[in-house]
Amino acid sequence: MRIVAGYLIAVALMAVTPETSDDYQARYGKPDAERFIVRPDLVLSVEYGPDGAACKMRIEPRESLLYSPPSSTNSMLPVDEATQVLDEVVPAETRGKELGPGKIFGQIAGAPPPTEYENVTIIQEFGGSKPTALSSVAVLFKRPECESLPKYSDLEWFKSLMPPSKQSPASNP
Amino acid sequence: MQGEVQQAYTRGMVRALLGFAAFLALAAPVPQNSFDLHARYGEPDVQRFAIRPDITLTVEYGDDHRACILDIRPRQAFIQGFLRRPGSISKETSLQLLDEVAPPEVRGKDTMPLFSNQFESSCAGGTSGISEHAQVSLGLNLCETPVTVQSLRVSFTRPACERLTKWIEH
Repeated sequence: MRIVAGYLIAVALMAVTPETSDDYQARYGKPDAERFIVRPDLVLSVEYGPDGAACKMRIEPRESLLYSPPSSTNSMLPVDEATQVLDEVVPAETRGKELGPGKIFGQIAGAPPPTEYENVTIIQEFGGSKPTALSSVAVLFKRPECESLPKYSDLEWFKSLMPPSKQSPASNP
Repeated sequence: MQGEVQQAYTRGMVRALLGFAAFLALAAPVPQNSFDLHARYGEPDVQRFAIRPDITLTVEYGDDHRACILDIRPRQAFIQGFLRRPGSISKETSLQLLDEVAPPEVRGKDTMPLFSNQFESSCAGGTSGISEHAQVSLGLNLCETPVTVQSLRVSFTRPACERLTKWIEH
């Protein structure tokens, strides 16, 4: 009797506690972001818009959500492989015409500016244990569907933290 | 004469094959949605779900395709730069969510209960708990009254998760 009861409890727990991707999707719907292992040591993170298509991507070295390898070399991006992946997921025809250097607020000083294309912005990100080393590449899509997502770099929020500037006497007679 | 015919035939075949290859290259979709990305790169190792309107659950899977790390936090950009808009969840909601995604029966018997310890550093603080099958940690904002939760993480301790939760051993 105890064995049967224990078995039933175990089955009930398995039914209610999500453990696999299918379980989570059955309970919470489709994921709004995913990460894929695209090369043995390289991952591609993707954040989707409400239409299910990618709005942001990031190519970076493979690390756990919890644990970063202690060796600094592991957090440096293998540039050739990253470029291959970038060309796979955002080929030239997807990027559209190159428009030149762009501006993203909050980048490390001295870092090269992002490159603006007709349809995307590509940002080389520096930091981690070696601030001068390329650590990841981010792609921001310019589709209107992507505007509702939390921003990559939230200048408006940052401005809201600043104390209101005093008006000069000239502008306040 | 027969040689010329054969050459012309070979040239025609090569052109047809090149054309077909070019067609295939153009027809292969650029992977920019979940379906195409799964088809090209296989199952993801991390997924994020909206579990409440403003709260997300990020799951990292082990080699056995079962959840190893669960990360609950206020919704923010999954891919973001340095300017990160922080958010918070009430302590009660975060504990409800903990029991929803990793019920006490799944975590196992507590060996160090949550909130039995706490560290503080200015406004930031945290507490962690250890159970038979999982460790739980809460990142707290101590400057808010009442204290709020900025992140909640569950890491399962089964062997398939060891590679992802190595830091625990350090």
